[in-house]
Amino acid sequence: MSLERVQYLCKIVEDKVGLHLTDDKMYLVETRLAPVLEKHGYANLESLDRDLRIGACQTIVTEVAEALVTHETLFFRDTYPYTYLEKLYIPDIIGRNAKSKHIRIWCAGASTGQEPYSLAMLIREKFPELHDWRIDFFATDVSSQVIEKAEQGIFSHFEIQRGLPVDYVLKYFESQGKTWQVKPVIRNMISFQQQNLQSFNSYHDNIDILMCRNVMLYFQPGFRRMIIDEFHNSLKEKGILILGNTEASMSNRQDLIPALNQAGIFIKASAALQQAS
Amino acid sequence: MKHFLVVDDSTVIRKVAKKILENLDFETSEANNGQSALEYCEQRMPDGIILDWNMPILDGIGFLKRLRNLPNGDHPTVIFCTTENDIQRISEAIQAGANEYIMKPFDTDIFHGKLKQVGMV
Ligand SMILES: C[S@@+](CC[C@H](N)C(=O)[O-])C[C@H]1O[C@@H](n2cnc3c(N)ncnc32)[C@H](O)[C@@H]1O
Repeated sequence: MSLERVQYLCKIVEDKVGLHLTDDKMYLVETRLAPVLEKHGYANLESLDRDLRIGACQTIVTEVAEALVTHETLFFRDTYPYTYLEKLYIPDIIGRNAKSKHIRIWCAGASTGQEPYSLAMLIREKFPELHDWRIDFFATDVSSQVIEKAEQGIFSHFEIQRGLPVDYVLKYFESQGKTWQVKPVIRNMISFQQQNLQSFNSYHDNIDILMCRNVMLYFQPGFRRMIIDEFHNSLKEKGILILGNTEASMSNRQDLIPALNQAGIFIKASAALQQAS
Repeated sequence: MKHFLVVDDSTVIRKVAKKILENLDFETSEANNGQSALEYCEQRMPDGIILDWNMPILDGIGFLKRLRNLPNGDHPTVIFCTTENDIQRISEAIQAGANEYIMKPFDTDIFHGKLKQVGMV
């Protein structure tokens, strides 16, 4: 397979979901696309490539894009964002939103659901005072495959062991033979939606907590900047934006103030504060 | 250097666990059943224990209950090991004083993750 062909495939994916595969990741293409080839009866990447060039149907394009995207995730990934939310940020919102008793949360690029479920369990477990609040909780991902899996909340025993403390397993999961399913109390807190971060008009608004971790890593700088601007619009004043631990440098907006030394956590500055500065 | 005791009647599992732990700079010792593990702990209390459920002479739960009654027996962090998704069993182990559980077969990644979760690495 020529580099030019691989680059062409990558370009399709970039147009479709924004994912930018650097040359050193090109080796992934062949192994990741093998199942797509088999499913559609292509003998090799060349024939798939030919069909894509003459405008193969959208489902194949989507499947190619999905196969090349990394969905890697785990429960309570990196721990510190959850500690920060639990110890500092959520208590703060509880004070601030005490009148409306309403919180809005959005996990963008939520993959198979470990991230939103971690946050939902944390809220349920640590903040009984929120039980009678209205919590709008959106978890979105461009891949309908992972969003479906997330919505079912069924995990293998390998997945369930990665990052999840045993107390949470016992309390919030039901075992079903070889798999585990998240209990309805937690599943019903979250609304899962297929959504492409490229369509800016589908962004949620008035968000208190916005997590978008390990997603923009794969995007080009220009696209990242646009997303950060849109996220800024999505957030309420003093809303929190949580990026991945290697994504701290992706925002240099003055009105997104880094919290917790460069860990990719930002607070949207209030208008008053901005005027003062 | 933190000290880990690997308690399992399978030599293969003991080998795998020891290898992972040693790569993470732990000192390791082993026991092949609950009774000899208990005798070991009476002599020298480890910092962590990885503990199998089914073992001859004294099983995992039996060991755990006795361990927690020994002087300083609440010191070791115990990671309990099962082969099935048995929620009953896991919850029994936690009640008996285990800190975490891990399902067999495990790999370095999962084991390392568990050690991190319980603050051992
Ligand atoms: C590496 S996972 C990160 C999952 C989770 N946020 C975490 O940190 O563990 C990245 C996810 O971003 C999703 N993604 C990639 N491009 C996207 C886009 N344009 N819009 C929405 N989601 C996208 C992928 O489908 C994938 O599930």
